[in-house]
Amino acid sequence: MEWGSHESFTVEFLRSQLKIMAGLDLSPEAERMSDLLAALVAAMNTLESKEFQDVFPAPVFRPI
Amino acid sequence: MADELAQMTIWQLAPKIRARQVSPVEITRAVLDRIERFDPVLNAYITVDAEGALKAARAAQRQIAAGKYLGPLHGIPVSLKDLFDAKGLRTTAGSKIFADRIADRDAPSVARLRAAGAVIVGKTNLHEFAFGSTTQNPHYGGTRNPYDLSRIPGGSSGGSAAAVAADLCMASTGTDTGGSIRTPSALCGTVGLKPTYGRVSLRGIVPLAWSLDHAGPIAKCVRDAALLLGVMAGHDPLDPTSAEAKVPAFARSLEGGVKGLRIGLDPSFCFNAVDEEIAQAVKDALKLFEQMGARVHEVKIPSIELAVIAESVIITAEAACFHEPHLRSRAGDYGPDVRALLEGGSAFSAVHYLKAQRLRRVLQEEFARAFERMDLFALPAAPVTAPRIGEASVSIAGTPSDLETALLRFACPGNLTGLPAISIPCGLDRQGLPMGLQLIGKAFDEATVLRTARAFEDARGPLPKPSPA
Repeated sequence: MEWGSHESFTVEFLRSQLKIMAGLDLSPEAERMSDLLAALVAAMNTLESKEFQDVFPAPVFRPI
Repeated sequence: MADELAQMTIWQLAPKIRARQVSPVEITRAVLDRIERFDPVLNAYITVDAEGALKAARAAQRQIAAGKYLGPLHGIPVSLKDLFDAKGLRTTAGSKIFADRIADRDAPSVARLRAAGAVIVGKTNLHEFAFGSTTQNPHYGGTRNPYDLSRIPGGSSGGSAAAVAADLCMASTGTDTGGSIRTPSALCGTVGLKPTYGRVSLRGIVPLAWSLDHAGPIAKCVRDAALLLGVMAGHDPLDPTSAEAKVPAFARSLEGGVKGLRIGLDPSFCFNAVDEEIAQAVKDALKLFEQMGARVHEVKIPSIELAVIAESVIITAEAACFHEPHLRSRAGDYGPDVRALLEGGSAFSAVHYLKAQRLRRVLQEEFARAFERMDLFALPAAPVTAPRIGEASVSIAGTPSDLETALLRFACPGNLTGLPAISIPCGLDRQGLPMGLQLIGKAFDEATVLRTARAFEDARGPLPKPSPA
């Protein structure tokens, strides 16, 4: 399964990903929140313009 | 008389303490008395340390009597959000997991408050692990809004804002990772200042998301916020996020007015998805600034609507990393909402996290460009006034919206950029609930943020006090 497509970010995908990545069981509340998570992933996946590809990540964990 | 004392600001009280017209013990007793009367209803505190507070107040009284006055916080009762370590007191972080965690030293920001003579009266309630905006805590009970007991105080520093608004302390500390100082301040009618990232040490404070966390004051007025920040701020060589920036005397530069200041506004962001009364209050505030000599002009931050996406990914991913060991071993000890957010953060990929950090850089650069033409950026502090307890969604201009996401929208640009941001009361809505105006400033220019907020506060006058009985 490919990371990131909105269609693939189902509750089942979230459940299996959580188990594989973190060894955790999905709680009922997180199951209810999966639409929100899927929407976030979908939004992240819209950031694919050429301009955005040239952006370096923000400097973090240090004083600005 | 005791209530009158507790209802004063630090700015009003400090000269009386210095002149020995009022003693630290009197004012501490007055605050403890209000806690005893009102906190059973408000539930703003997790821990009240009456004995420790009175001991510190007596010590302050002796020092002042001996001519050793330390400054405006000497003998002033303050509270701490229960994320800050205070030696000998537990730091629960509003959680069951840290319920018995006793701090063996003060967080540097707390040590600075004590060194300035402040009296710690207790630790305030918060959203569990500061991860949410309602302060309806499953382990320690929900905090109520002093303006309407059927409503939330906001969060995550909801106990601090409620305690300050109801005069159950003179001021408090808060942390702000996605609005947790500014949102409860807006909803409770207090002044909340999120300083520049690096301004106040984060050591000794339970983290939520390292790259977004900030610590700062919640106060009854702008002057008090300036006094607290002046004490809390300063370089901490043991905190890698701490800046070696000089700390100005914030409280001494408050009265310069706003003449000539350039205030930027992005109307398509600020007046979209916001309650009409709040939008009008912000417009009125901007008119007032213009009347006082400031220049208000439109600016465009092109990616600002994407900020909430970057914030949501970063905050959940970093929080999931911090909580990983506890989530593995004690998942059932988390409240369901916080557990779900941590699970969501655990499922994001490194690619998503880095994409969010790239988006964050875009936003930082857009703000940097905009600040070439402005000194401050104005926007609402929150899109709604305090929702009712139990409401998970809010209706904004007739459109339903998830409460947490709605509250993040105006708050998160300040966290992602690290720029200083203040929430100040800008009136009450038709239901008598406080509304907040937010001002974002340039990095390490809290002085201009505070001066502008003070000019507005002075022109607008104080909000009517709540009646939390």
